[in-house]
Amino acid sequence: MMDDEAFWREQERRKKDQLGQPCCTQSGMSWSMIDLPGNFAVVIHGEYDCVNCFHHHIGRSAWRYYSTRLTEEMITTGRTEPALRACLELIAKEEAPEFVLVLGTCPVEVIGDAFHHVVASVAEATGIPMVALRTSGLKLSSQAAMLDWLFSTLAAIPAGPPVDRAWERELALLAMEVIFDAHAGGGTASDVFARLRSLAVPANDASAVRVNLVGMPSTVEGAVPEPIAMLGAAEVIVNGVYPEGASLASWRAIRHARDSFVVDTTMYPRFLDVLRGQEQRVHEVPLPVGLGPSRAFYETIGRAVGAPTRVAEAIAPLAARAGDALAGLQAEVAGKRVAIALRMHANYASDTLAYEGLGEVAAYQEFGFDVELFVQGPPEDAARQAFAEGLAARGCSLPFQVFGGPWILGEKLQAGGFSLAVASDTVRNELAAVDLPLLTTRALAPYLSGVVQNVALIRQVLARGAR
Amino acid sequence: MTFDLEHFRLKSLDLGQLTGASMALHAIPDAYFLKHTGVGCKHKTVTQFGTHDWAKGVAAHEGWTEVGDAALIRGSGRRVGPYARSAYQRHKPSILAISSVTFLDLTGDDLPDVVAGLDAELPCEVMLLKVPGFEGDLYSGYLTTLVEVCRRMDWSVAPDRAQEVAVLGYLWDRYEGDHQGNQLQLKALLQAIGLSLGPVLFSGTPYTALRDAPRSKTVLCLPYAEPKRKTLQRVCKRDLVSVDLPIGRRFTSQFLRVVASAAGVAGATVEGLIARQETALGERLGTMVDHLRGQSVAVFADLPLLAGTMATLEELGIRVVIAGIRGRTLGKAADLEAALARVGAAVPAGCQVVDQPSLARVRALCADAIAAGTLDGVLGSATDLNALGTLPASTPLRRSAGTASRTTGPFKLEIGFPCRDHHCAYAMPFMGYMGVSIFVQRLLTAPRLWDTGVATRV
Repeated sequence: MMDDEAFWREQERRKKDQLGQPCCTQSGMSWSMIDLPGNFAVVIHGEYDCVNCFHHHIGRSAWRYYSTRLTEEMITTGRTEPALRACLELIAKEEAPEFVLVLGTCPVEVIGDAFHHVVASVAEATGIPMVALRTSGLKLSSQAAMLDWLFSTLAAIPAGPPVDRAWERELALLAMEVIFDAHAGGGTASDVFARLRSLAVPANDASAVRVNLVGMPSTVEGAVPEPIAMLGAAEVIVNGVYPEGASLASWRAIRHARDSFVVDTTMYPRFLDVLRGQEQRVHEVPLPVGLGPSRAFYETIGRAVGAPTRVAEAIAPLAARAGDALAGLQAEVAGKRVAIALRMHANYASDTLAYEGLGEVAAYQEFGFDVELFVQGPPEDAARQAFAEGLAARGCSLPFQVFGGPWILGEKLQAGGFSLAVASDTVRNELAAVDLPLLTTRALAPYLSGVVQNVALIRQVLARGAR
Repeated sequence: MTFDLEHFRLKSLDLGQLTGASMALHAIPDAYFLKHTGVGCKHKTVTQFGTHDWAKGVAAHEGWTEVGDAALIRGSGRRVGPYARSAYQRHKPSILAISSVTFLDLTGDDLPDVVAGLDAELPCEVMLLKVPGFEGDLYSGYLTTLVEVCRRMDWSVAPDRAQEVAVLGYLWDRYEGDHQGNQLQLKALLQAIGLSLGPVLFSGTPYTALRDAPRSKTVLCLPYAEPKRKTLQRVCKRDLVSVDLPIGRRFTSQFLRVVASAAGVAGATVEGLIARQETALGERLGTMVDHLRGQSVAVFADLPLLAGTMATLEELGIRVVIAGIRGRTLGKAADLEAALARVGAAVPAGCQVVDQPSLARVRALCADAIAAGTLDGVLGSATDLNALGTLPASTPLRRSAGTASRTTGPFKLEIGFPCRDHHCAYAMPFMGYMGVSIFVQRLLTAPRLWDTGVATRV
């Protein structure tokens, strides 16, 4: 067979300066918008198969997506305008969304399609805000840069009224209860009215302390009840949680906060410029997974809003419970090794991407594990050096190895004597083959209340491994 | 050219040929799929199977050539060779498939020549798959792969296995118990009439074993292969036997009759078996199906699966009020009617048949039927059912009158691709006579779209 050494040497020079997987910005933005509730439309301007770089069966807004369905003839002749114009005009006429996002694709990028002029023209004619972004897979952007671009776009769309996440949650719960009671035939009219009257007025007082939380870990509910409750107890209103847990309404309300608390501010230079332009103060907070990081998260917010004592008092019971749970586990875990795999994900999740994927590491160290990192990438020396520099720049001095791909990870970890692996779900077969328990990335529950769940989870997983 | 909004909307099935090729190659464990694509196109393959196949991942036997803008400018075709050689050295596949995408095809690189060179150079078979993203669908991509794999086989050999039946066009999308169960059903059905099951393309069988297909005397062409039947006949140099999927009582019996006739099995043998099996099925289900009879449902599926499911529902006394045909290449409403007619079934009067519905249309049709109190269940892929997930739980309350049985919303049953919640840890066929029993079991225990605890039918 031919010798490809020269080719691979050239490849090595393309080394990324980031640990994350590269991404297609169209794929990433489509994926990021699909679970966003709200009256909007996403138009993928390209051949129809370009809609397949994201799931259609997970997320609440798949039915709000469109494709211009460019044919071979349209692409090769460059006559894409009629389809795009028709699509946008029909959306405006029949759906009247609050906002339309038009995303480019590789085929239209290759032919140099100036589609943003069409979008601007239809937006002007219809009065509906429409934004065209020249997204594609050609640039091999980082996922963080994609999120930064999307967030800065969403934060700049026309403002809506303020939202109150705590109030929205109360309203949703009350509405569900009333509906289900009516459905089941229970409750009288006076009961219903009494319950509706019990709902407080939403906090839209401009003088209230309103904060945005950005880059938070996902929760089962998609909302974040713990920070809402903890900060609410300290008279701090959560204006919005971004991106998970956000709606179009909360993006449109993002400018109403006085402070934004951001996990890994280095990820979002453009977005944070937009927030600062809206006269917000931006603060760095750790990814709140694990006791220490969660406590630091709350303490940072408390100090910034001038309510350190109130916040400390609010979190004290949960922090104590978490501390007790953790203390019980640490002796069981001592001396055990966990392998944490990096650079395996293209899931566009802000919490996975934070701190180059190192966001959860502190929680595993807190459990008492000896942590070793496994970075997916080219095994050559130059690549290893680039990864070493990337980790050092993050202040990470943990031992690490580089592995070529999923097929080889099981073998490598078996040789390392690990008790647990934290990696992408795509390696489940490889780890099962060597009988090594797997916890997928993002398996840990966030915040103080998550610590107790996580301790139980670790016990379960280690017990499985011991069988 | 005039358009309506439905043309542009995201469809119930918008998966393209690249996904179909990946599905086919996933079903060949000793194959490797090298995608000469952009970075986002990776999601068209690996990611689409992430929630569907919990038994086996796709990522370990797929790779991509990491094309970016710089590579595009300098000519991306040169990248294929090193990646293909590296993939061979690491994975040692029996067959290596290479595909491209539209934006790379636009540059005019001579990929066929590159692949032909690799086929001559590497110890494994190397084939090019043309799966452009502006035409076709999941099924045509699967079928393109099937045709190319068949081309690689030696069909000049004499079919020396007189009792063996090979199958072309089995849609194997995961290594879970539904397909394992189907294979056991096919095997048992054939054995019961004195035949044996040969290689099934595709079925999780390695390419090295599939290559024995030309030795089978009888070669079946399932509906997923039917659009390329003439091409396959030329490639295989055989008269292929067209047969519908054995889903439901009548389609299973018809399957036996068609195969038996083609293989020269005595009619009396087959009819005796059918009579026994149909009687046994009736006894097994007994009065259980009384709890289903009279219900009205919507079904969204690709045409072969839709035909089988609708025939089965008719046998169970369940009325289909909305039938959505997913995909572009397996047929339209007229083909559905023709398929049902082959077993004496029919599209029920008043049933809305919609070709390639959008998710918005799936949602609107079902919402209207729920509000009107005329829908007891929805059967469809996770994509279809997900589109219903955001319907307000008040939808069934909006109708003015009706029976209490429908106020919890319709039941939902995942069928087809992809699944999110339906997984099979043991043999759970949807084909053959046993497949009917499993289907009834699933219907009886299906979850509801909203479950408030209000009693359903008793």
